[in-house]
Amino acid sequence: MTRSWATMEDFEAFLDDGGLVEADDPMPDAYRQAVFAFIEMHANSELMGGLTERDWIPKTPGLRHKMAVLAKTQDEIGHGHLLYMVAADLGVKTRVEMLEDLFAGRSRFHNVFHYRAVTWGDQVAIAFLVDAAALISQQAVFKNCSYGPYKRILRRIIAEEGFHMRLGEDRMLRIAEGTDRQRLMFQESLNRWFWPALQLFGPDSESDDVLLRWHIKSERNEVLRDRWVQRFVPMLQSYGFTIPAPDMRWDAVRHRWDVGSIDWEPLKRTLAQGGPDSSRRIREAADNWSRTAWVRAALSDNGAAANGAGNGSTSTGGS
Amino acid sequence: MRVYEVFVKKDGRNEFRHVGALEAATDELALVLAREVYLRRAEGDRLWVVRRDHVVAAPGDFVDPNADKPHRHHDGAAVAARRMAARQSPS
Amino acid sequence: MSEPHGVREYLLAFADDEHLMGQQHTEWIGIAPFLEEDLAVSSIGQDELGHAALLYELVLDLEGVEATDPALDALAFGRPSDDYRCCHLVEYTTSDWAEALVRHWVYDTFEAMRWKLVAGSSLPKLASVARKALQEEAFHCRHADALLDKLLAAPEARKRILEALEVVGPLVTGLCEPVEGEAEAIRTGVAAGSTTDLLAPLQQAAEERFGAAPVNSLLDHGQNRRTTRSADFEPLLARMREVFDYDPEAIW
Repeated sequence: MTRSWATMEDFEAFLDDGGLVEADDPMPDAYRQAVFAFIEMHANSELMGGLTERDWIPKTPGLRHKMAVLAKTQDEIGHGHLLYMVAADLGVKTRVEMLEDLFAGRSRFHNVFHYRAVTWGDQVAIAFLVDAAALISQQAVFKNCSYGPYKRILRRIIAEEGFHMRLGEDRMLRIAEGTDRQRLMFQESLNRWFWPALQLFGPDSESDDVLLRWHIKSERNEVLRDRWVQRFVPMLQSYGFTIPAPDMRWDAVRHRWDVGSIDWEPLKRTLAQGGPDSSRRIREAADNWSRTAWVRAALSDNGAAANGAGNGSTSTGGS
Repeated sequence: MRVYEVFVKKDGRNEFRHVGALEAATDELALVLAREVYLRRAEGDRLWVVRRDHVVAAPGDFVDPNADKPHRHHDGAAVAARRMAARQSPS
Repeated sequence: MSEPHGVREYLLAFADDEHLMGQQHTEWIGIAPFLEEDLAVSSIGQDELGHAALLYELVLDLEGVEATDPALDALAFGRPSDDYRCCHLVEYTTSDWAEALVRHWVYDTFEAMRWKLVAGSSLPKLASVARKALQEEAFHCRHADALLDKLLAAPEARKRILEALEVVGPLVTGLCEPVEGEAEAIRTGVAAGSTTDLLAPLQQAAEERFGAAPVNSLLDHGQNRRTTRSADFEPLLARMREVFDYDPEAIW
């Protein structure tokens, strides 16, 4: 079906009506740029999340355990791959350009992956708290996403994240039911990761957020953040862990946990690549990328253009 | 590297479905890697990879005229109404 | 428990090789040359760790111990260094992708032959593990070959790969060196032949693949023995045990 929109009003009416945009539609450039930037950041975050986890994978305690953890991180890198392929089809940047921007510190990825996992407990906290935060965000995007190729791969991504949630919860439960040293380790991890995980949702959405208007996001940041708080605060408390939020209180009228005021400075620092582990993470990724440049050069030797049709005009568009 | 489109089918179920794309240097690498990218949990048991530049794609308006051929559909409601009328009228 | 000790040694050497090879693959996730390859190397690593787990289970079977996670992990991670029977090829720690790829090719080409030796084993469970493993190995070999087909045809990449072969090659003899228990395993029908006999076909396959043989002579093994540990082993085992050592009482 050929579609074209004479004005932005027509386009927005199409989106409001539940319309799905495909890669070869003549979408308004502002929409193309916004969708691209959103998917690129999601892709970067999946990849950098995988790199955060990789620090601990070789140390995973247990043979079968290591297989499961390896499969999980493999999925995360796989999500990055799917997202980079879909983003490249928007014709804004090629896959290689996106990776090279990431490794040069020129593009963004989620705040949480600017931190370092310093203990095994951190690895479990990421799998449990951070993955849950990401999943809540992704579900909200999937629900009403107007960009067809993104919506379709989100279905797969969300299904795989379901496996990860169960793995993360299982590992957390082993610790919760474990020795004092294990519980202490996880409490310390919770102290380190609770706020970054909560900040992943970002500050309250602006009233004129184009991502909401164009149905790239479907819910406001503060709504998603609250969903995570209401789910994880009581769960962690029930296992005997302490939420590192001194001003947190139970709002008996609204029947909700209120974590108190949120300091957004750490989030802002990560967005400027100034997080606690930003420079190491980016530098190591860049070094590893450059050390294998010879492989990519040899494999690209057939002279074929890297990305086929730039804007995906021959893409069959998924199913 | 070339872009390959990946199609997967589960035995006895559905048609081949497009599941996504990947980059590979050769047809053989495309096949080997597609298995890791799209079939890690045996999401299908048959696999095609097709070079994107070999896909013959129709322009977006190619099918449009066929969206308006009501005579090919034989309106079910109209037939049902006639059937009902025929049964109720004495023969 | 009535099984002869030699069979245990035989299975343990096999399991240790698979375990450490899988471990080496885990080091590449996220930093392989391209994203699709990250996924491939991770799958191969999972397969090798899976083979190791099944082989360790067989060892526990012989000992009459139930193969729970803690029992399996005690065997995989908790033995004194001197008790490991892996070859130095899989202990070798490298951050060079050419070396990792050459090792991957050599190891999996050998491994496919090794599983065939036990595909008709008198231990039914080993024979069934071998059937599964052989299916997987066909893909591992195909993966390594598909990359090498392309890379060996590019001059710069070819040079790097042949240099890597110089480094990895001398370790190959140790891969084919049998453990003491092998004679017992052959006598009882657990294995159909000696890994020593795989050296010649491996050498021939390597010549066809690289145009150069990595292996000189089985007698050349020098310090490269399954009963001694290379310098890379202790740091590697410490890394693998780091979380266990944090709290020996814990179950993770």
